[in-house]
Amino acid sequence: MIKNDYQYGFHTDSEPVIKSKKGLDRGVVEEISRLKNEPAWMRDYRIKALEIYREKPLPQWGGDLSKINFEDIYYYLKPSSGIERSWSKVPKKIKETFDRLGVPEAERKFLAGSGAMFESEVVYHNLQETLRDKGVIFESIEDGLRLYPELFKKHFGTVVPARDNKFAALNSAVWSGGSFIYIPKNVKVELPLQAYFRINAKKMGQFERTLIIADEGSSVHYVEGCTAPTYSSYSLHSAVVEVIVMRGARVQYTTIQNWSRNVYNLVTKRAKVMADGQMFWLDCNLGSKLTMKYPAVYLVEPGAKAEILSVAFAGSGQHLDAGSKIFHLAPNTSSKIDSRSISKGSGRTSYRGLVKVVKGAYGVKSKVTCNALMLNKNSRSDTYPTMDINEENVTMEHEATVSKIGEEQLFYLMSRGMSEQEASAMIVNGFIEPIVKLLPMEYAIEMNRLIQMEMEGAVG
Amino acid sequence: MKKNYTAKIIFSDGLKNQRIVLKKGQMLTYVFFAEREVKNKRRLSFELNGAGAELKMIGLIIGKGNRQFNFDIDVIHKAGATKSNIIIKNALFDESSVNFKGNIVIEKSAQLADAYLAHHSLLLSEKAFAKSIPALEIKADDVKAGHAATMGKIDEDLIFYLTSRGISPENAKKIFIQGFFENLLKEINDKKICESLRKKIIKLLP
Repeated sequence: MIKNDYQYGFHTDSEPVIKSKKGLDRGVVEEISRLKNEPAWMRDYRIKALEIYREKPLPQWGGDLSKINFEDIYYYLKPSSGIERSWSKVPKKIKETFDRLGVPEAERKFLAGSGAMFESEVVYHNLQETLRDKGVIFESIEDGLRLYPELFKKHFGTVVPARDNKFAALNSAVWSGGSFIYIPKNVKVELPLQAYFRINAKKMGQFERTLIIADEGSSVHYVEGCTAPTYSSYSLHSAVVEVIVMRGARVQYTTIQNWSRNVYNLVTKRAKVMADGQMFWLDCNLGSKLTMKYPAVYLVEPGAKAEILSVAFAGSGQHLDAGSKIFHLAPNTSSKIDSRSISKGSGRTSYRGLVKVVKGAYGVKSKVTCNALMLNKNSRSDTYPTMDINEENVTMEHEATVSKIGEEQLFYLMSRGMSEQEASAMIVNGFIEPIVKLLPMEYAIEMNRLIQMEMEGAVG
Repeated sequence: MKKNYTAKIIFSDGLKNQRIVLKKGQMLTYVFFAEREVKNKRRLSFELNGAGAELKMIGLIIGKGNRQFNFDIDVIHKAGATKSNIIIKNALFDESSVNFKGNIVIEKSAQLADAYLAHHSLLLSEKAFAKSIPALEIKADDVKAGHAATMGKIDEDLIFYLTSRGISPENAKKIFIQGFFENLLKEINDKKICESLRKKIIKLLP
C-alpha cells in the first residue's frame, strides 16, 4: 500500500509569467538564453551542452529511468519577474506558500541570508549587511553571471563539465535558478547561508545550478532544504552543484531533500579541494520517487580533506540510490564516508560509492562505513562500494552492515511502557542521530519530526 | 552453541570457475590458494538453496611479478537460516594486482540468513594495486549481513618492534606476512591442508 499523505503536498495556483513550450530543442535553449540576456559564450555553451546531452545514452545502472517522458516536460518557467530584496515585496501567493513551510520564521531566527527559490527563479534575496561589507557574494546564479562575469566564467563548468554525464549535460543546456556564492580570502561566515526552494507548477523540470567559491582560508556553511507539493504527473529535478574549496578553506554543504513522491531527482554534486582545504557534504534524502545522487570530492592537492555523511529514508515505492565518490589525487589526503539508510515498506535504498587512490597519492587515509536498517519484509537494501587503490602507502577501510531493529532493543523500550511504534521510531531516530545532530538545530528538529511521521503505520 | 563441525572441505589449487549448490543442512568449507595468474575473469558462484545450509570460504592469494587476479564471487541465499562467511586475503608484491567483485544476495525467501564477506589486501610494493567491490543486495528484513574491506601496507610500527628485538627487516616482513595469513589457516579444520598451505606461503615469500 502506498501512502500518499505528504505533509507539504499542497499546490498554490500561481501563474508563471513566462513558460517555455513542452519538450526540448535548440529553440528552447536559445530562448532561455535570450530571456536571461546572457552573453554569447553562455548561449554557445548551452547549445554545445544540448548536443552532448543528445549524444549520451541514459544510464543503464541504478534506478529505473524508463518512465520519464523527456518530451512532456517544461524546461523553463519564470514566475513573477525580477528579484525582490525585501520580504514585503514578495508576491502574496508565493509568500503564502513559504509561510506554510515556515520560511519567514527560519529567516527571523538565525539565517544569514535567504535566496528563496520559487519555481525556476529566485524571487527573494536578502543578505545581511555585515556579510555584504565583508565582500561576501550571495546572489542568484543569473545575477552572478551578470554582475561578476569574469569570476563566473573562470569557474563555471570547471568542476562538473557538460560532458560529465547525461544529466549534467541537460542541466548545462537548460539551467535556471540556483545560487552563486563567493567568500573572499580569510572571511569566515558564521551563520549558515540558506536557499529554500520548491518546485510548484505541474510537469515542471527544475534545473538549478549552484556555484560556490570559497577563497583561501575562508569558511562557509550552505544549507539547501527543499520540499515540493504533490501532483500526479512525473516531475524531473536535475541540478548541478559545483564547489571550489581553495587552500585552507572549509565548505559545508547541507541538503535536506524531501521532494514529493513523484519526483525524479537526478543530481550531480561535486567539489574540488585544494591544499589543506576541507569539504563536508551532509546529505539527507527523504523524498522523491527515485533519487540518484552521489556527492563527489576531488582532493587535488596535499592535505585536502573530505567528509560525506548521508541519511536516506525510503518509504514504499521509493528508490533512493545515493552514495559518494572520493578521488584521492594528491598525497596525504584523507576522507571519511558515513552512510546510514533506512528502508520501510517496499522502499529500496542503495549505497553506491567509489574511493579511488591514484598512483603517487601516498599517505592517503580513507574510511567508509555504511549501515542499513530494514523495517519490513519487502524492504530492500543494497550496498555497492568500489575501492580502486593504486598506491601502496595507504590506509583504506570499508565496513557495511545491514540489519533490522533488534528484538531486544524493542523489548527493552516496550517494557518501559512505550508502544511498538514509539519504540521503533525512537530506535530509527537513534540510528541516524550522529548525523542529524550535525544539522542546524531547526532542521534537526524538522528531521526528527519527519522520521516520526514516516514511522507512523510502519509497524503491524 | 557448540558446533559439531562435519563440514565437507573442498580445496582448490588456483582460482577456478565453480558453481556449487548447497542443499538443506549442507555445510561446506571452500578453500582456494592462488599464485598463478588469472587473467580471464573466474566466477565462483554458490547457491544456498536449502534451509540451514552453511558456506565458509577462505581464499589466499600471493601475487608476484605482473600477475593479475580477476575473479567474482557470488553467494545467493535462497532459503531461511542459511549462513555464509567469506574471507579473502591477498598479499601483493611487485606489479601484481587483484580485481575482485563479491556479490552477496539475500532473497526474500531467506529470512534469518547471516552473511559476511571480508577482503583484505596487503600492498607490498609501490606498483601493486587492488580493486575491490564487495556488494550486498538484501531483499529480506530479518537478516544479518555485512562486509568489510581493507587495503594498506605493512604497519611500520610492527616492523620496528620486531627489528628492535634483533630480527632483520627482511625477516620481520616475512613474519608479518605469515601472521597475516596464519589467522586464516586457523579457520581451516583440516591439518593436512593447513600444513601444505603454510609450506606454500613460506616458499613463496621472497
